[in-house]
Amino acid sequence: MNLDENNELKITLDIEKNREDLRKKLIVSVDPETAKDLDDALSIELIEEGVYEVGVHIADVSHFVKHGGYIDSEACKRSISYYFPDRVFPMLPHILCDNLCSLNPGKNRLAFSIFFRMDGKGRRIMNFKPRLSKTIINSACKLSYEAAKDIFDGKITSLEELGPKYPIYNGFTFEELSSNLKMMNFVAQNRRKVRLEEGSIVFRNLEKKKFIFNKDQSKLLSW
Amino acid sequence: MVEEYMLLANIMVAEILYEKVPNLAVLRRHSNPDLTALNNIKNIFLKVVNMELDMSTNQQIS
Repeated sequence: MNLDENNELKITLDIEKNREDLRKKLIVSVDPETAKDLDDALSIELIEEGVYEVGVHIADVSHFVKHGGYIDSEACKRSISYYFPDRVFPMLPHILCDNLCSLNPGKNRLAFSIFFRMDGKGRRIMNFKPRLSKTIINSACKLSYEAAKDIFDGKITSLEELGPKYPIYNGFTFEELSSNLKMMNFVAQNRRKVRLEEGSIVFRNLEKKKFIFNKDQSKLLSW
Repeated sequence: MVEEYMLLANIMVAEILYEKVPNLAVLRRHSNPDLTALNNIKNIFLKVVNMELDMSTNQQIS
């Protein structure tokens, strides 16, 4: 694997020439507060009045895990990552889940990206075919759901209010981050309305189930 | 917000796969529910929680 002396992913010429370089694009991830494996990140661009190009960027695991190889066959056996309150049994090796295939802010990462266009009413612009691309990204910020919501709701309005927990990388300003997030949320909420009007089912009360074990984890105490 | 975009990305990737590799794309689609079973559920809800369910369309259920 191509790591440099600091154990960071090295973007070789070979990678560079086979991928679209989005390292200068404002891309953010929004996940639960404690998330370590950041699978996906988002970007948005106003193309013209009422035309938004959304980018959904997924960690490109296939760059690291070869089809039919050892890691692939072990992952097939595990099928999913198991999350317990105090530990995780990941499907893939830790270095991939939490590091190289986690779209961490300020780090060069390999992604599979899809770009599609939406109008201001949350409808897909059908005459623009979604575009798929293998990319190199560098996330500008790792946000929690709460922090993202506070930005949409106008409760966080400056870098100071965002605080040191959520540093912004790559020279972007809070205003750029905030306006992109608000744009993403605006389009998404309208899209949600359209989807629900079309009869999609909403699952309510899907809160997390917690299983409490005794100390040596031999007995289930409550759930 | 993230949920909406993940759904959209999934839908579009599915469409692309269905178009480009129709012989490999697994199209998993829920067929209409069994009417007898649906009526049974309706009756159970009516009996147990005294709740009238209108299950004529997806929209009504949601």
